[in-house]
Amino acid sequence: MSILTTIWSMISGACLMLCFLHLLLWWKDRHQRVYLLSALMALASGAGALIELGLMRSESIAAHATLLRAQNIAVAVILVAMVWFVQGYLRTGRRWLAAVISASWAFCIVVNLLSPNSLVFAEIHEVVPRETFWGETFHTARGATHPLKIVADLTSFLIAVYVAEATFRAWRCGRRQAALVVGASITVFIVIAGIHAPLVDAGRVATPFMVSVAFLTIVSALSYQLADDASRALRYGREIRAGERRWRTLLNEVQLVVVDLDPAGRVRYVNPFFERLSGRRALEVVGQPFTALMIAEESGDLAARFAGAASEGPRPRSRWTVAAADGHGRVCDWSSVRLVTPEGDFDGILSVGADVTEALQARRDLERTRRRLDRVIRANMLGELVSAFSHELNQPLAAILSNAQAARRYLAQGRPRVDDVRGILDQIVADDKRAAAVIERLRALMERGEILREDLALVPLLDEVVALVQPELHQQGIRLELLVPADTPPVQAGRVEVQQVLLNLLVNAVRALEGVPESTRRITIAASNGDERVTLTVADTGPGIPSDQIDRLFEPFHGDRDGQLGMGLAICRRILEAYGGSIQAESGDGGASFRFTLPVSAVGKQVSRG
Amino acid sequence: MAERDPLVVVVEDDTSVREALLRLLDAGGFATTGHATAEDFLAAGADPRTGCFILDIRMPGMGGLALFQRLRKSHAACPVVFLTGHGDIPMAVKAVQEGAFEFLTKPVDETVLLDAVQQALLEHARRSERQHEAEQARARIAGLTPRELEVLRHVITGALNKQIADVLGIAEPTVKIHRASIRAKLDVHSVVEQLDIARLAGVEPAE
Repeated sequence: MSILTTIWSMISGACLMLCFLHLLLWWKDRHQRVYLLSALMALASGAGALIELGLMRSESIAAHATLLRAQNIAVAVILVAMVWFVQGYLRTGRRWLAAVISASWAFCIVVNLLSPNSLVFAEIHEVVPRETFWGETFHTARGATHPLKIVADLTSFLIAVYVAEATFRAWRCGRRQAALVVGASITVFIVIAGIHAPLVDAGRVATPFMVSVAFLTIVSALSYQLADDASRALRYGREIRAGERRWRTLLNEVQLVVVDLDPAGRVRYVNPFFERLSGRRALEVVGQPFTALMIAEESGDLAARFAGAASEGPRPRSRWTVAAADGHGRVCDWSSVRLVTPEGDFDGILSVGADVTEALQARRDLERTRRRLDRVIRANMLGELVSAFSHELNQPLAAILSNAQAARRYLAQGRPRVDDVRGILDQIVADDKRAAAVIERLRALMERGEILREDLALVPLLDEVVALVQPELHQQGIRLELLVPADTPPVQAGRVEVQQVLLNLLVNAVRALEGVPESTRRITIAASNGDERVTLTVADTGPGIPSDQIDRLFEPFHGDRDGQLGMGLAICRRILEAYGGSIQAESGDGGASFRFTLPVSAVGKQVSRG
Repeated sequence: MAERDPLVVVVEDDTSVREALLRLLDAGGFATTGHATAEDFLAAGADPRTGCFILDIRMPGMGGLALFQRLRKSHAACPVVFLTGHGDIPMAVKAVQEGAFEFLTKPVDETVLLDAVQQALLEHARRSERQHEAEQARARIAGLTPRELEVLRHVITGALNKQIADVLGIAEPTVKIHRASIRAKLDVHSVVEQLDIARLAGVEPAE
């Protein structure tokens, strides 16, 4: 039995086996066209091995010529398939170079078929017997080299360049193993085959052609790489299944509603928490339009929104109410994502919702309580101001009455002096206007407005507030110092609210001074101007605030008199913060002081810059 | 115009109220003067013709109540009428308990005001009369000798001559002589008249 025959037959068999395996792989996953290319390479390598064996055994010139032509076709198929395999597998090769190589080989095949002695020889002079080192005889041809063989050799060089470059780039991209196995093996063996084959052709080395040996190595290396890919795919599959288990656990156990909608807006999936929250079975809603999930009042609005979500993606956050079996909707805050297929087509919407029903209810309750307290504190403050107002209103009314009755008496006595009556009438008019102004001030104070920002000049506003408490200050013998510069810029806030804050602080200060000797009763209102803020301070000379209370002063329900004072301060803080201001309390030997800030209005900033 | 002699003094810080009151009182036939504050009034000095005061309770500075405390001593014969707002009624009631003549709430009707002033001036007249009588009585009592005053203090307790003689350690006829002298000096004839003068002059009865 000949060793050469044995080896080359085994090579051929191995190549055909690999061809079969790669074909099977391609058959199972036809997206992977590289398997088809590698199968083609293996097939051609197997054929090439048999052709090489034929060359070794044939002694006639004619047989050599025929077999050499066949061998060139096999090599061409192998090389072109290999180039496109690299192109498809590494995806880093230059496509134009692969095309040039293919075209070049196509040209060589045409030359090969037209030439009587193949692409290798222009003319075959003789077939000479040779011996291997173990003494087996084989044959090689000798003759004049075909002038166009240089094209094939150059193309082999191009292939080496192409593969080397694709490998280098794959390496740079981080696909080191694939680059090493595929690129390096191909490059090395192309170089070997490219050097060895021409030397055999030229009769310089006395060995048979070993192109198929080189190609078997390449095909084996590629097979190793593909097998590695396949095993990795299996491992990924296991990991994905483990990941899916985790996701599944999350979907089943999480306290959030998960809803998956298909592109038509029908429910594809709801998680178990949906069933717990709504008391409805998943089977009842899956396959239904998504409007079946929500309460009827909202479905119209949201149905319109779905169309927009399908084309532009959903709003990242939304709020709608899940219809529940017991008829009570559950309000949820939703976060939604738009799903797309790998091809980029719209594939539905996945939404996750958190139940906020209780939180909303709590917030509404709190809001209601706050509004009620707000009204109470206003009513309390107004109650305290009523005596002040009635006094202010009493004065002009008393004057009007007495003036009118005096005039009537003058007339009845038949001695009216025109000057007297004119003076009386003038004064009645003046007092009437005075009374109207008092009422207007009261009305402005009581008018309930929503938060309204306006440019407020502080000096006249302070004057108004001070006018309100002036009678109280008189009665208590309290001295009031106003240290507000005339150039204090206007602030941006609501008139009534700021008045409320000032009144609250003034009423507190008046109360604080109750236990203080009259000679030292003093309240100071001071303003200092910053670029962005005006700081107002209301200070009294009372006993101050105990240090353990000063921190809790602004908390609701903290207070010394039926909660009035504390609630008032809590509301003050809320008002000021609503306008971007702040308030803080300080206390020392000299009494308590409340310092609050309000933002300077745009007008005020311009003025101060100009 | 003799009936216009007693002055009504108005102290009220609100100018228009004060002027209106002054006009109404003028129309009602009263002589008036007005002051803006207690301090103004005190600085101007009291007019001897003053008959009564109308004071606002709420005033800057001294205030109506503080002024009232001073007037009780310096102008005991002049009644004080307070003018108040609704919120000050408790204060006004306290003032009346301390001897203020009347309090009126603003706005005040003319009849109420003029009537109150009328009554206050009548009261002023009564108090002035009593003051006058007391002064005369004190002048007559001042003419008695110490022994005669001693005897009088016993007489007004209703003691008999014999009892007086025993207590003072003198003879009964001597007591009779003293009593005749007292009757002559006081220019009275009955024991009842003696009692009146002694009370007006503030003579303490003997123990």
